[in-house]
Formats: sequence, structure tokens, C-alpha cells
Amino acid sequence: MTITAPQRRQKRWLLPVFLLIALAAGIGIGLLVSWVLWPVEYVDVAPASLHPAHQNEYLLLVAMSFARNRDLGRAQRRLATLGNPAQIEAQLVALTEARITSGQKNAETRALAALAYALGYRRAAFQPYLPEILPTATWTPIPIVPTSTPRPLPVPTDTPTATPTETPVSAPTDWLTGTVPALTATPTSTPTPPPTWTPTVTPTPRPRYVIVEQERTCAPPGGVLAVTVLDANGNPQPGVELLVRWNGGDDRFFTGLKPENGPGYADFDLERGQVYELTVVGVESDVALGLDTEGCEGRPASWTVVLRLTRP
Amino acid sequence: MSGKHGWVVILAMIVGLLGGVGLGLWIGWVLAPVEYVDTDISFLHPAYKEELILMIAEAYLLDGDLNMARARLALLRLDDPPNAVADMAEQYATQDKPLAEIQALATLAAALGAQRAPVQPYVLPTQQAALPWGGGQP
Repeated sequence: MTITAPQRRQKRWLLPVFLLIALAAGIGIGLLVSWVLWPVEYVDVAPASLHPAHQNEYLLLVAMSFARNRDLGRAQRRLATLGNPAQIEAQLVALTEARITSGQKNAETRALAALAYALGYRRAAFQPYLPEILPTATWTPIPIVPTSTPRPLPVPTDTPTATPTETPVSAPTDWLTGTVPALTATPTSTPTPPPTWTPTVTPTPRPRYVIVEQERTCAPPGGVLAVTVLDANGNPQPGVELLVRWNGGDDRFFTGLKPENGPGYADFDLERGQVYELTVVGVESDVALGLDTEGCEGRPASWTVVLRLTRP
Repeated sequence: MSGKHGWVVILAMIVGLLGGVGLGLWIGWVLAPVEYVDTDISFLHPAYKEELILMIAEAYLLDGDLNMARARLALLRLDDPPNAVADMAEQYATQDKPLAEIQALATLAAALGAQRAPVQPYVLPTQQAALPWGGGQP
């Protein structure tokens, strides 16, 4: 069979058409694969890329953690993982104000107010929510008990991996199921009536041992942690279980086992090179930190710690 | 269509298809990849998840609300939340971690039913878990 010249011209014209059609089909297949079937999946994301509702939950947890440990530096480092600090602090303030406006006067709101206040946002609306232990005008964010050396948050590198994924999640859909209470999501813009409660904090007193004295001494023989535990009336308290902890280890001991030193007395031998922490077992208690044997020019230092129960 | 010309067309289509697939993948994976700007909290890097578990434990000590702690842990989609918290408490106890953090984790783990002997001394009584100013719901 012979091909005429016009037929040949027509077939030459078809070639780029076929090429373009194949190219378009190829692009379509490529996009289907890369956007739908195996899209880039960020499996190890940073808090900054969280959904706003989850960011608010993260903010809330940072605030509650701060309310517990009073470590403002750590709270700030955690907030920084959410993105631009100024923006995040504004988000924190907005969240706090929204909760106050909607009348949520609980531990969470108080924690948010305390953190916002500690960060320098001294709003009048926050005052009723601040813990009594925070003086309202001149409080500086110094922890009640000395904290250990601040540890930087891990900063993982977000490496996009093109691994197959189930379904791209663009928004949380199943935060909570069952009977658990709703979490605090992004406050809605629905106007809420002004709160009707009286804005006064009603603290719920709990028994708690507080450190009333923590002193390093250089008297011989040294290397002794001497603890005295007092009850709410200031009387020595025997039978109190104490927990001492050091890097990778812990031990427990009781007051009153050396009655010659008083019923509320207990001691523990400190080893050189270790740093110890002390608390009371089974009850809320301050933690005595930084108990080491340094600072006495060659001789191991000793420590005197006095803990007193606050009246419930 | 002659045999030779047919092969040219087929070759052109294959080249076009492969080129197109390559271009499509480049667009989809490099030039304009899917961006997860509103990701779920369960996608967090393990280090951030660990930080969150700790914060959840500290929040539990503050408000004493176990249901809320459970709900927050559920967000992380852990396989076994109670044992994950207990594992973390044990791990912290063997590391140079602050006592208060071990207490928070051990207390939450115990409240969730995952009691571990090594961290039992760190467990705080639940009813006394809250700070004076932070306790409970209104």
C-alpha cells in the first residue's frame, strides 16, 4: 500500500497532537499520584502547623503546666514552638478573654490568666482569676522553688516524607467521643451574656508541705541531708515518708527514726558529685532542689531542710 | 498507517506520557505539594508528643479531672495511653528528670490504672492533687 503526499502531511500533523495528549495524560496521572494517592505527608509536624483548635488546646496545656511548675522560661519556649511569639501571646490573651467573657471560671481559665499575666498582659479582667500567691502589681515570674537547669525543648526537623497516607486530615473531626467532656476549642464569635457570678477566687485549700527553710551548711562531718518535718501547728511530725532523688536513683526514709534529734527529724547521706531533690511521699509538697555537696572548700556540704504542713 | 509511522506515534505517546507523569510528580511533590497547615495533634513529632503527655499530666494534677486527661490523651492517638504514660514515668525516673515531672506522670498513670512499682513512691493522692488555687471545676 502506498501513502500519498497529503496523507503523509496529515500524519505528521497528528504526531504532536498525540504527544500533547500523552503529556497531558501523564501530568494528570502524576498529579493524581502526588496529590491524592501518595501526597507528601508531614508525619512529624511541629505545633506551629496544628489546626487552630488544637493550637488552643496546646496553649491551654502550656498554661496549666505553667500554673503547676511556675517555670515561665519553659512556658515561653513551649509557646515559641507554636510560631511567632507576639502572635501566639495575642492568641493566648484572646483565648483567656474569651473564656472570661463566657464565664468559664475554672482552673483552666485561671491558668490562662496567670500565664498571660506573667507574660506581661496585666488586664484588669484577669485580676479576679489570678492565684492569691501572685501579687497583682509587682509579681515577677520567679518559681516558688528553685527549678532545675532549664532544658531546651527538642526541636525536631520536619522532614516531609512521601509515604503513602490514608486520608489527608485537614481539620480535626473526632476530637472527643463518648462521654468525655468537650475540650476548649476556638471560642466562637457568638456574643455571650455577661457573667453573673461574683468575680472572686474561692481557693480550695489542700494540705501541702511547704519548704520553710533550705540551707547549706559546712559544719563537719558534712554530706548529710538533715530534714525536719513539722505539722500544721509547727510541731515535729514523726512517721512522714520522704523521697530523695538523684540522677537515675531514688530512696525513701522516714522522720522519727532518730528520736534523739527530735520526732520530726530524718537524715540521709549525700554522695559527692550527685545533686539531690527531696519531697514528701503521698501528699502535695514543695520539692527541695539543688541539694549537692559542693560549696564548702573541699569538705562536703550538708543541707538543712525544714518542711511544714500548710493547714488544710 | 505504515508500520514505521505507527511506531513513531507510539514512541511519542510513551515519551509524552512519561514526561507528563514526571512533570505531574514534580508539581505535586516539589513545586506545589499538599500542605497540611491545619494538622491533627496526633501528627506531632514524638518529642512534642512527649512534651504534651507531660503537660497533660501536669494539667491533671492541677484540675484533678481524669476524664479530661483521658480526652486529651485520646487526641494523641496512642496505642495504649495508660501504659504510654506509665512507660514515660518509669523512663523519667531513670533519667535526670525533675522529680515534679515524674510525680505528675506517675500520678496520671496510676489514675489511669497503670500502676508501676518503681514509680509508686512518686504517686500523689488524686484528691490532693490540685494546687490550692487550681482545684476542680467551679
